[in-house]
Amino acid sequence: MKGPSTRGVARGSARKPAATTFGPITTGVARGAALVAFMAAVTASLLLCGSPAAAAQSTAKSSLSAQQLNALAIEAKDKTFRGDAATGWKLFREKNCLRCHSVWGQGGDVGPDLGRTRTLGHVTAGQLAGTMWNHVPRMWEKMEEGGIRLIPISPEEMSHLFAFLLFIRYASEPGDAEAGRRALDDYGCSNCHSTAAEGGNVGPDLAEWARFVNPVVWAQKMWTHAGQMRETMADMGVEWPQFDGDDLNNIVAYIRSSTTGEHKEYLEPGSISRGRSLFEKRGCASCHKLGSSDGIGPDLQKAELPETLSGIAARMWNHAPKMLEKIKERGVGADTLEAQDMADIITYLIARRYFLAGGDAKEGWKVFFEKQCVTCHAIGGWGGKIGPKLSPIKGNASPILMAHVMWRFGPNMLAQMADRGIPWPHFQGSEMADLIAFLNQETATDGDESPGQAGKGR
Amino acid sequence: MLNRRQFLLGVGGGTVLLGMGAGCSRPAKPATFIANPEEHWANSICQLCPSACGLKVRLANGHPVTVSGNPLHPVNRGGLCARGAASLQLYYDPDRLSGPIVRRQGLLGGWGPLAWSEGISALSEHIAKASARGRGRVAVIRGDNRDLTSQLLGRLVRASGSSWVVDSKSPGERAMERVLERMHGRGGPVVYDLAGTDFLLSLHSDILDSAAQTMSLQRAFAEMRSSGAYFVHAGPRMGITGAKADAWLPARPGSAGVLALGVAHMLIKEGYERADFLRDHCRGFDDWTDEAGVHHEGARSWILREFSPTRVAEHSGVEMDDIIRISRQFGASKRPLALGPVGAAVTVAPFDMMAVHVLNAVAGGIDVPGGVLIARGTPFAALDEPEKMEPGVIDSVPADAGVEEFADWVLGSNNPPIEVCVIHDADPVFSSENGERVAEALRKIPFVLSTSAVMNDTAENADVVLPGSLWIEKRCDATGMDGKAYPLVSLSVAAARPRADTRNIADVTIEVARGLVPKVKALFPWSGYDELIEARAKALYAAGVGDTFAESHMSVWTQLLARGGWRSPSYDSPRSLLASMERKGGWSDPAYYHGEWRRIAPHAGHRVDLEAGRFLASGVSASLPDTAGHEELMLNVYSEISLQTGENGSLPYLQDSASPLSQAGWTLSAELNAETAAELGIAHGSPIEISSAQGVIKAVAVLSACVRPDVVAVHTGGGRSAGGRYAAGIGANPFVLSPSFSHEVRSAASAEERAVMVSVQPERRA
Repeated sequence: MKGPSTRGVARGSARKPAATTFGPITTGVARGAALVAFMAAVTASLLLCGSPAAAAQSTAKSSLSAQQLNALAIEAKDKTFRGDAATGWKLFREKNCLRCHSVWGQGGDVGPDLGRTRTLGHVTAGQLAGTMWNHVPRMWEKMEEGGIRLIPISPEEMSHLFAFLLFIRYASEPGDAEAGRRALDDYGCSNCHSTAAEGGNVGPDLAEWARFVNPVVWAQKMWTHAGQMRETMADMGVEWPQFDGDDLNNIVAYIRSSTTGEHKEYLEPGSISRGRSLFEKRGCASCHKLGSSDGIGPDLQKAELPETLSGIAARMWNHAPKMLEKIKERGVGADTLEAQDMADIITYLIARRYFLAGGDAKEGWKVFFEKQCVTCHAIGGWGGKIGPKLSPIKGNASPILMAHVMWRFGPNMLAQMADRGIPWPHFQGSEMADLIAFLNQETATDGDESPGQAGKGR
Repeated sequence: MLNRRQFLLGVGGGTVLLGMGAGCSRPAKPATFIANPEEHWANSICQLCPSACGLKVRLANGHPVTVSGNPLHPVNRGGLCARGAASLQLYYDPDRLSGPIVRRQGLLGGWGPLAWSEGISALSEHIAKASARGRGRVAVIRGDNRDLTSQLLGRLVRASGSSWVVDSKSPGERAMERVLERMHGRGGPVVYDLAGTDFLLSLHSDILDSAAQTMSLQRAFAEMRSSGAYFVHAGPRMGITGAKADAWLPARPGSAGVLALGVAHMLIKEGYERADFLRDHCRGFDDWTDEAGVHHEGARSWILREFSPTRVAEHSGVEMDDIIRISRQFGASKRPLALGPVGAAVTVAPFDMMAVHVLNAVAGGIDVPGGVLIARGTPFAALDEPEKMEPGVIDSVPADAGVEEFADWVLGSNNPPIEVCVIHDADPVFSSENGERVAEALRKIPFVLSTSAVMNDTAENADVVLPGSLWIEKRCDATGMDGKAYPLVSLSVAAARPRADTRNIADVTIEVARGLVPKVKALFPWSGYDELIEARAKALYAAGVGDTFAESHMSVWTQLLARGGWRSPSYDSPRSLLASMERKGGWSDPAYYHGEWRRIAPHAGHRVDLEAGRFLASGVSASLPDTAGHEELMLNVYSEISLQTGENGSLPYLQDSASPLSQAGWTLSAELNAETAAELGIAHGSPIEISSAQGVIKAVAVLSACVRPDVVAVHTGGGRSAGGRYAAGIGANPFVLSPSFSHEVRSAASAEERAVMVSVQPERRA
């Protein structure tokens, strides 16, 4: 195996500083109480930003017209793709979310650490928006009691917060060095590789790579050398190791702890746009059809994937022999990915799963009725007239919009619903994504057939 | 034990303002009235202590009129201590040197003006001749090596074939260096993560009175207290540190180490020791038998045998019940941290620092949040690192040579002579415990050059003074760390035009070096300081870590990114990095990776060597002098937060606030226990004399219940013979009372060997 390459690794900055941006989304499956707890925490963090009294005042005058709602929807959809995680972090602090919540150990300890919720599994932006809806009434009550002012969150700000909350879920923390040491032994890596001169001598001393602190770089190095390693391992009768969970992250932590650790090299946060482009250009798309089961490889938008970049990188390692074989057969260039390329592609895939997980419009139609949205809102000529018509937002509904309108107009809605004895809606699983899909359906326009008819067959 | 309330009762109403302000009037200058002066702010770096806080200087028509803290600077985040706030007074000091001067030869003596070119030529010629005659004949005494100017001077000395690069590190820092070398196999510095601890035990630390990293410590302390941490201070006097603690234990001077091991004894005895940490990261804790079958006693047995609460109570003067209670609280805490005498004004026994470090190890408090952190270095080597240079090996130079060792060497009869000595950013004749001996050594050296902007005590012993520009007058830099052990590099612009004929000493050093022999010139490839800065920016860019200063939340973001292996810098070229550093004040790498034991303990095994620490413990079994019933008192010398060791003595604001607790400025105040004072017939505010076998000083008595009855406490900062109208002759220097200790005694374990006993009595009227 050749020595490590630094190509593709951020040194100073190989490229112009890029914002960590994400694209739109919807979908999800109910994850049970743990997911609800996480979402409650997120909601709490987002809502601890202003006073309920002020919220009531500000929203009391908020009789939203359909045109205004449509303008907001367009803005939210536009901003969905432009959320910047760093700005989201700034807002997270400015809105005092950190008073209760921590991120990787930084911040308050009243609520859960929002960077350590991976056990909850995959969470989509739609689920995030739905859970925010579920918990705001209680939060407003608490804020009113505490005299906390409600600070408005614009669609743009909401997109930054969504991007931030996604980033802290997929960007791994440093792993557990001791677990990494055990993993190297358990997988037999130590038979071939030494670490700081302790271990085998078939492969290079892993301490040479200790400066690469991002697990994706390790995955890229292994990916690049997988062919050579496979041959050597086959000669030695060693099975290809299958990493699991945080294995790769832990191994990186162990290797780093085995050196002086003074030199470190990082990757830039992945770029969705670059990832999208690379996914096509480097031939990934020739095997993996996103949103379709027609590809040679699995549909990476729907397949069960790990929640973190390092986890997905480890999954790529696990499948490297088979994938590389196919790559060679088809003559695509994905076998020479740089580390930054790999980070961009994985980020793109994660963002798609986060923002573009589509709902079921037919199920959304049910939600629209079952949650009694129809009592106040009309769509396709059906429904009440208390709230604005929702038909104009066709094609522009998004989780960002749903979170924004809830935050901005929710107190007024809550008061009106209480007057009419309508319970506040609670969205489970993919219900919010389904509702968004329903609102976006093409045939739901005033004067058309009933929404129920429109949703059928989709 | 006294609590805060008792302290306040003791002090309240008893203090008297003893300000005796010297005439401070300056000759009036004609002023030009400007209706709408152009104003702007410029970044600068305070260089009145090693913290190197970020400054913002407000300029009106180019004249500095205000100074405040740079809110983006990680060390001070917009705050300033008294020294920083007073720093403009140095710029406007009426007694600053107006340009280079040279000592006149002949009967008349005195000083005469000198052209910069003549001064530079003189230095070049003396270095060339000295290095041609042999190795080890050129020396530099510096404040430290945290800026490129100091590193350039060190590089010049080493390039000239000498190892005499002497830094005036604080006593606590020097002692800790020795401890780290023996117990970790590396040097410092260390950072104490105050903000993360939940129980801070200060053993003579005086951190809020006098520790060098004033702003970062104060900020970390505030964070610690706001999180509800408990704080206990032990020491001979309460001071500001004890006044802000939950409890003060009046301990004898020199008892920090014994107390630390007394607490460690209780932790081990009652099962509070962190067994997993001791097993995984230490060696020498348990007894062991080597390959030859020889039994070795581990730290556990040694501590249990030697440091029982009874014995420690007798040794330290602290009540046994208090030792037991504090130990239990310390042991039961999640993240306990002990601090040794980090802010000491006089030589610290390595034993004391070692014992405190052993206690932290027993409590599992090394390289953990809320514990002792080993600072990460900047991503480039210092310019004067010996490994990067042609070695100028002088075998007899002690590895930790300080100013005193330098003086010993110069005055030794059989040593090769030091022929050239440059003194930069230091005033060792005043601030050293054996200042007169340092002066004697300097007088023996044929050519001594000072770069001081004012005529201080050390410059008075020089042959040439080339006054360097103040930080506000030049582009300058500083490397360091913040309160979380993150490396940082500060960079400033030249905010104001020089008020005198001064130059940037970095440029001067490069010019001198480039005029020497080719092998020296080759080590100085830069045309000047600006080019060196650009080279450093390129190296920093190439390192590919960190980012330029930013608001605290964005620094945390950078830190969060780094922890996951990500980085998104705000610059994309060395040029934009440099521009960003100048605009924001510097660069930092806000990440600390716990568990890098090969970095933390590079020696064999990568463990903290508790056995090696015992070498420092010789002599601790001796009893401290029994002062009960004796008229003599133990001298406790401390430094105050404003003047510290007095290098800033020419700033009137600092002289006026020299003793913030007693409110006694412009003089030397001596704290005495009220009961002791009554026995001696001394009234509050009355003049007294303090005498030892070595000398006599005059002071003003400040009586309180906040100092041990067997102690008289005096602060450094006064008693200068030079420094201008606001410094010369103000107060007294307590180092006059100290004997001239040998290197062996200075390095010895026992505090009692260095204990200074003094007589205190009312001043005798002539």
